[in-house]
Amino acid sequence: MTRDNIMEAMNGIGDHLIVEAAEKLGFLSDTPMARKPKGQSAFSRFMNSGWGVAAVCALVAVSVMGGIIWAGQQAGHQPPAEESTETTELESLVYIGNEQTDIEISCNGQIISPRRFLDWEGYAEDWDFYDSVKYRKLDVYLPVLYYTRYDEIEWTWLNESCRLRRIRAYDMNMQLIETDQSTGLSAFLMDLPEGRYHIALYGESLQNNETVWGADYAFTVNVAPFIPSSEPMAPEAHRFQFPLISAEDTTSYVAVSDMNAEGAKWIEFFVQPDGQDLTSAYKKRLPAQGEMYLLVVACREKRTGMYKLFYIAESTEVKTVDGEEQYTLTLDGRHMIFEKEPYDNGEYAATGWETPSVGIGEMASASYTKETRWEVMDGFHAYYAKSYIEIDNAVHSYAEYASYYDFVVVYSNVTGEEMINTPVETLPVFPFELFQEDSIFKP
Amino acid sequence: MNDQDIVALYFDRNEQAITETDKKYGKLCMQVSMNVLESKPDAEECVSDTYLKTWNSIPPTRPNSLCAFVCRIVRNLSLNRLRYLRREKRNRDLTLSFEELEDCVPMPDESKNELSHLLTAFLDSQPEADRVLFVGRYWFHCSVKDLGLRMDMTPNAVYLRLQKTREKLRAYLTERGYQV
Repeated sequence: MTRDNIMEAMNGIGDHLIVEAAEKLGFLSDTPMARKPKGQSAFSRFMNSGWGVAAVCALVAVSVMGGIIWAGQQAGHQPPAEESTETTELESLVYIGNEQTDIEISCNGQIISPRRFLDWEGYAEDWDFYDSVKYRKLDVYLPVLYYTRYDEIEWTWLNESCRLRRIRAYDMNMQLIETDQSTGLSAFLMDLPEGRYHIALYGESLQNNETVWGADYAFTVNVAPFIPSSEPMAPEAHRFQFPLISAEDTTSYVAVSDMNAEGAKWIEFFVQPDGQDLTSAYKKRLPAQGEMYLLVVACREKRTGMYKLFYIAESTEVKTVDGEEQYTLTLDGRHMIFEKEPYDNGEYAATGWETPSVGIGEMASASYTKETRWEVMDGFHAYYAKSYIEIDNAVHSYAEYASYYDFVVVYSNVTGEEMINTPVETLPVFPFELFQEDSIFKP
Repeated sequence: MNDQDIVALYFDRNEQAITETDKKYGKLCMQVSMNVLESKPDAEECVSDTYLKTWNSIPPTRPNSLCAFVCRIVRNLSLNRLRYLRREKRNRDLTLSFEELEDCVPMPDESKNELSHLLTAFLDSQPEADRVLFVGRYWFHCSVKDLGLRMDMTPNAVYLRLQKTREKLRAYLTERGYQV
């Protein structure tokens, strides 16, 4: 069949398919399907209500106080006093269409000026989300984000001197979580310099005839410390809290360090598969319905050489969605959905995950490619690793994760109870020598 | 304004129909045409021609879906325009998308109508996301990367899903006696 014939055959498909795709891809509504993460309805409804907005405002105001104080200190200023009238020097850099459009950013209850306007080549109609920036007159340092259509992400953020700077994408450790193509408003997770804290920003559009960024646009500023240190921990500093775990057909050593002082599930270490070929050793069965399991992900950060370990201990159930049986894996209130059957090459496809309490949804690939250095794991685990790391780490998305880490996955179906009840003192010494340059972890 | 009202304007020969069509579907038409032609001036011309053709077609035609109706027109006009321009330029992504499909659709002389019906039936049986990706790729001619952005998936995930769907399509057509 010639290409023209194919074109004609495709042209004859049903109207409903065309309309559906146009809608879901955001051609009609300015709201692509991916902008509506699964499980968001309750969250969205809440956020759509006045209470939701109020709650977010309150949450943000409270949660960023530490950040404000910190930033103020860094800038050599005292923390904002009550009813402060101090003018904070901020700039906002805005690209919007070919027209100058106002933007207001508030800090400590004051509208921040000056404003600067720069031209942007086209798509003016897609960039009216700044109206909603006006709406967000919150006592918070706001990152101002904008997205170009050409794979170039730019943003502004606050640095230590309390000025907004425009940063070119990927210069900093900042991850795009998702972007609304119609408006350019993006959700980012970022960690500020020196790992002080990170900011999560999430936007959701209201769908009607006009693109509106309104009351359900929520963002949070999370001042919880990010990675406590960029320096690798000395091996002897690790205090193993959990036992080593032996899976059925291979010996998988798992060593988990203490949680950090802030309670983040940032776990520093790992693991060795007894010299076996990881590619085969870790391709294990999926857990049966209701079965507890443990999944361990070990990573080595390329930049620092740090090894990091993440674990999951949760349960599974099988659901039938749209006539297809899917696994629903639950951890920390998050549900990850996978197709049950792998592709012919053994990879599993993740069809999505939902995070009802956080408000960030994402569809991701469960696949791996050589370019992204996922050679040592199967797709199921790769996706899981990515997802879980993203939960705890709140930084790295799948696409870029591989540029930061080499990692492998150890999988076991040992129950969480067994894991926790094993006395710490019975843990063997971790075989650090396995992490040599000639090991399988070599980048 | 809903589609029925717009169509009614066409039947009344009220030129407001074109304004309303442009308001509602102008961006969509532009997107479809841009995906094919990758040229804003060419796309704008096709979109204008689309409105003219729509004006000349309604009446007597009363489309079931005005959205699909204008989409088909702008797509066909854009493809025709592409053929015209083909000697001078080539839309790499469009070419690529059809190359992908060549591996899983039958060879010449099959009834295109029948094949269209089969394609529709096949796509109706697929999960929504796969269906949308397939139509997005092979009808709207979106790039894999663009689809990934729109569906919030990695390009690799999009590619794999498309690949899987194509494999299913190949099997589907083979089962029905087509030589693929």
